[in-house]
Amino acid sequence: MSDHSFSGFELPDELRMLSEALRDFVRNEILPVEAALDPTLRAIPQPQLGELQAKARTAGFWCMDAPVEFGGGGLSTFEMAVVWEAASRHRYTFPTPGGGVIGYSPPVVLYRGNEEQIEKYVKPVIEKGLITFTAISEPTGGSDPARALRTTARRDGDKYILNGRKMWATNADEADFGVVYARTDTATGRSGISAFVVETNTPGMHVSKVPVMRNHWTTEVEFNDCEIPAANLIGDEGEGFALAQKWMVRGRVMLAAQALGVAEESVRMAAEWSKERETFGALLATRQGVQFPLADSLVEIEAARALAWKAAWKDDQGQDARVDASMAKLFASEMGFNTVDRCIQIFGGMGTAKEMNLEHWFRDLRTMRIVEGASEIQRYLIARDLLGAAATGR
Amino acid sequence: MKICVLVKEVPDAAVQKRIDPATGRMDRSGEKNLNPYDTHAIEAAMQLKESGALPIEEIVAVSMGPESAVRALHKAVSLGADRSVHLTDAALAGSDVAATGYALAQTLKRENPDLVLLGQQSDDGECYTIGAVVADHLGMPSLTQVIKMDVEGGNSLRAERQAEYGYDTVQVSLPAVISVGDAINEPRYPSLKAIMGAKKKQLDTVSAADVAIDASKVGGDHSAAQWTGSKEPPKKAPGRIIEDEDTAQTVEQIVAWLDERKLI
Repeated sequence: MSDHSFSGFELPDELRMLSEALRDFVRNEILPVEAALDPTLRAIPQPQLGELQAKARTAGFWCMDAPVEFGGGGLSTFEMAVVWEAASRHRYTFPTPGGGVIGYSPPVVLYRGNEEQIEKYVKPVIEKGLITFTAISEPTGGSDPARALRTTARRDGDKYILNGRKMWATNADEADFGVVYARTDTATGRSGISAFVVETNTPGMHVSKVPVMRNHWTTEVEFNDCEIPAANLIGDEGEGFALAQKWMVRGRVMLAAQALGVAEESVRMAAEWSKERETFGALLATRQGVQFPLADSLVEIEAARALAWKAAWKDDQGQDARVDASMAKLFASEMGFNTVDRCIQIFGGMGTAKEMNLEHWFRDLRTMRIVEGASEIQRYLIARDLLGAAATGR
Repeated sequence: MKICVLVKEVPDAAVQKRIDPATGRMDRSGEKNLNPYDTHAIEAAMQLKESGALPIEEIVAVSMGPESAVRALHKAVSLGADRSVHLTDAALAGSDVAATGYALAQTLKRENPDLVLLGQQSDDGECYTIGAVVADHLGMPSLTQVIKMDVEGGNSLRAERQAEYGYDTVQVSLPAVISVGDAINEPRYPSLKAIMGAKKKQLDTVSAADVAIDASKVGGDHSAAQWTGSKEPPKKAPGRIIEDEDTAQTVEQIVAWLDERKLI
């Protein structure tokens, strides 16, 4: 064998063990609780959530992606991609694998906050499992913040005054605080956007629920002369969008990992079913109409994992992985949706039953093709990288 | 005091187990994992240590197996063992239970443990006997199927054994070899921190010669028990499915079926 041979696809022992441990935790702890819940619930309720969180903390499966210095697990993007996939094999895996059982991480831009912001906002989220929100999209659009973002933050002495409306701010109705992106300079594009911490009890902030598909709702947030301390600015004025972009790769890889976990679990369920269910005197497993979609799904799962792992690896190496992350998110979210759809078809009527996770995931995966950059945006980014300035028509 | 926990790498639970007819040995080519029964022994050791009822200074995981068995030892350490010992030597390959027990006992002699714990069985060979063989070679008392252990005084344990007829309570002086039943505890999950730190903990690799194993007593050629063949259990007759279209009629059919066979 040549000295230059590829070192192989095997995961390091530690990561393999961690992935197995998470998978066992989900199977032994989370799945039985979910199975006993009313399937129309939006999330794992209390007291079950608190009891599961206590078990997860004891096992050290808590905020694994948050930096160690803030009380998290400090896992790299690649490690998180592997762990997130293992943690996603249950019903309430969206928006966060574990459904809150393994903690919620604060809005990632806060990691770039100053010492006071870290102490006041980041550490309590990790210590107490607080829920937060992020508000960036607006009624005018979400994929083009340079033009669509119109909420303003006007400096007035030692405070900023916010005015505007935000859409799709998940959990703003339940959170203690969140990060809001607003314009501190209306004359420039992206460089005029700043990020602020806003506490949800601040006068002038109004939150209303926006029911959406899934057992879910998100929120619309209005700011009417909402005054916040100037100390709540994260980083410098105009840095908001750049800060958000630093974590975009990781966010998209994590979504790909979630889709992978769900797709794998869907295929496992459908394969088991096909080996038990007889129609017209033969097992479903003997039918090509069942074999082929399962085979296609397995191939696509492997391909999606390769894309996600490559993007994650490049991110950890400090390389520019934005296009890789777009490819991973695009392919994995489309693959996940198609896979769940195929598996529902294999189950037939049972696949649509609320007590089956497939029905839940079908709606989750449909949403995933839109959040964090819709599939069309990912395609545009990939094409722009290939075509350069020609893609922009300039 | 020191507890040694015997652990084994076995084919993963999801892998279909089979004997390779060419070698007469278990096919170990697929995914492998730490024997799940051994995780109960590690947990029992951890609970004894954490209770403070005995002055346990360290827990040492000990395994005999090929190079890949290191993974099982890493998992044992991530579950709480302080360090591990890996006995590995081509001369040991194919050892039967008696030879394996002898080899493990030789390794344990070097550690001089106050207590040896192990799972009730391995998930592959399922012989249930390795503890007794090890105890015999070490000259220690042996208890099997222990599902409860309490410290009595400074140097003995009161153990509850699960038996077919009920439960035995046995007092045993240390040192002793105890195989624990899987009802003894609920093993903890290996924590993120413990997993990430597992490779930093001491792992001693020893050969047969390092622990003075007599080569004429180990290995496939020197084992008294030899595998000669296997066959699958007879296939069960297909059951009868009664569709529940009318519950009263269904119940009648079930009762009639049971009655015909004098089961009720």
